[in-house]
Amino acid sequence: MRILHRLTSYAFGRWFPLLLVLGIAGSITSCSAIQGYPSDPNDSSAVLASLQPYFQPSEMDTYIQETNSAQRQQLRDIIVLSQVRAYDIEFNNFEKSLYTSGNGISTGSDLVLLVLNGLGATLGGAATKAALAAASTGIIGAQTAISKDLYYQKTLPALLAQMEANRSAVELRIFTGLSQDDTKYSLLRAYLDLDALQQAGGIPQAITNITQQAANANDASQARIQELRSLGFSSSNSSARIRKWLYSGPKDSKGKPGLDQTNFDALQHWMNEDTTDPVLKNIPVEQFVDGNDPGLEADRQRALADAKLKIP
Amino acid sequence: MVCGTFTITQIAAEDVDGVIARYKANKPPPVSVTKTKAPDGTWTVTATFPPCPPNTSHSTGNQ
Repeated sequence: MRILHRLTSYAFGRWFPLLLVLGIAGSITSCSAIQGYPSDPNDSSAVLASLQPYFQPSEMDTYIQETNSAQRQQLRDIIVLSQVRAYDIEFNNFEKSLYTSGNGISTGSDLVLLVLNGLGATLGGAATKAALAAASTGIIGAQTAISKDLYYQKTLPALLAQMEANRSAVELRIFTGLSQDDTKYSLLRAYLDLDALQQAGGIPQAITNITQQAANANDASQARIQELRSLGFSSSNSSARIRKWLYSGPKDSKGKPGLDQTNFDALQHWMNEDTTDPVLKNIPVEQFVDGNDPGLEADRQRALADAKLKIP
Repeated sequence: MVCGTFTITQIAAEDVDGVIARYKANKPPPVSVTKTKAPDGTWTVTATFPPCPPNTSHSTGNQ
C-alpha cells in the first residue's frame, strides 16, 4: 500500500506539469473555433428551395414563347436576378465553409506547440522537459504531415479575395446587361454570364488569376531591371546629395573624404526593404545613386525625404 | 539579388573612380569592374555580378 502510494505520488509529481500544460493547451485549442461571420437571419436553404423553379428549363420556354417585349424583359430580369441570388447564397455558404475549415486546420496544434515550447523550459525537471520536448517533436511531425493544409490556410485570404473580385466583375457584366433592352441582352446571353458567375466563385479560376497576375508582375519587374542595366551618369541634385552623404567617411591619403560604409550599407538596406519600387533590391547601389532615369530620380527623392537615412 | 551586368556611361574623368568604388562596395560585390574610355573622353564603367538564374527573363544581362 505504501509502495503504491509512493508510486502514485511520484508519478503525479513527475507528470502533473506535463498533464497541466497539455490540458491548458487543449482548452485553448477548444476555444479557437471562432465564428468568422455573423448569424444569417435568412434560412438560406429555404430561400434556395424557393429559387429552384427559376432554374427549370420550362422558364426558358415561357420566356421564348412570350411575344410581348415588356413582359419578356420582365421575365428575363426575374429569372436572371433569381439565379444571381441563388449563386450568391451558394457562394456565401462556400466561402463560409472555406473560411471555417481554413481557420480550424492546425490552429490547435500551433497553440499546443507554442505552449509546449514556451513553458517547457520553465516547468519541472529534466524528465518533464524531455517529455515536453518529445511531445513538441510529435506535434511538429504532425504539422509537417498537414503542411498542405497550412499552405491552404495561408493562401486562403488571397483566394477568397480573388474569387470575390472575379464574381464582382461578372455581376457587373450581368447588371449592365439587364439595364439594356431584351433585344440587346437576351436571356440566352445572360445564361452565358450566369455560367461564368458560377465558375468565377471557384478556387481553380482564382488560382489561375492569381498565378497570371504574379507572372505579369514578374515580367514587368524583369523588364524594368533590364531597362536599368545601362544608364547614363546622373548629374541631378539628388545624385550629388547622396554621393556627398556616402563620402562623409574618414579622409584618404589625398585628403579626399572616403566612402562611409555605414551610410552605404544603410542605403543598400533601404533599397532592399523598399516596397514602393520592388526592383531596387535587384540593382546595385551605384545604379541607384548615379543612374540617369526618371524612375530612379523619384526613388532618390524618396530616399532623401526618408528620416531613417538622415541624408543632409 | 543583384545579378548580371550593369553599366554607367558618360562619366566625367573626375567621377570615374568614385563610380568604380561604389560598385565595389556593393554587397555582395561584383565579380569584376572594368572601365573604358569613350571617344568623347567620358568613361563607361561596367560591373559584372554573378549570372542571373536561368528562369529570369533579363538573363541577357549576364553577358
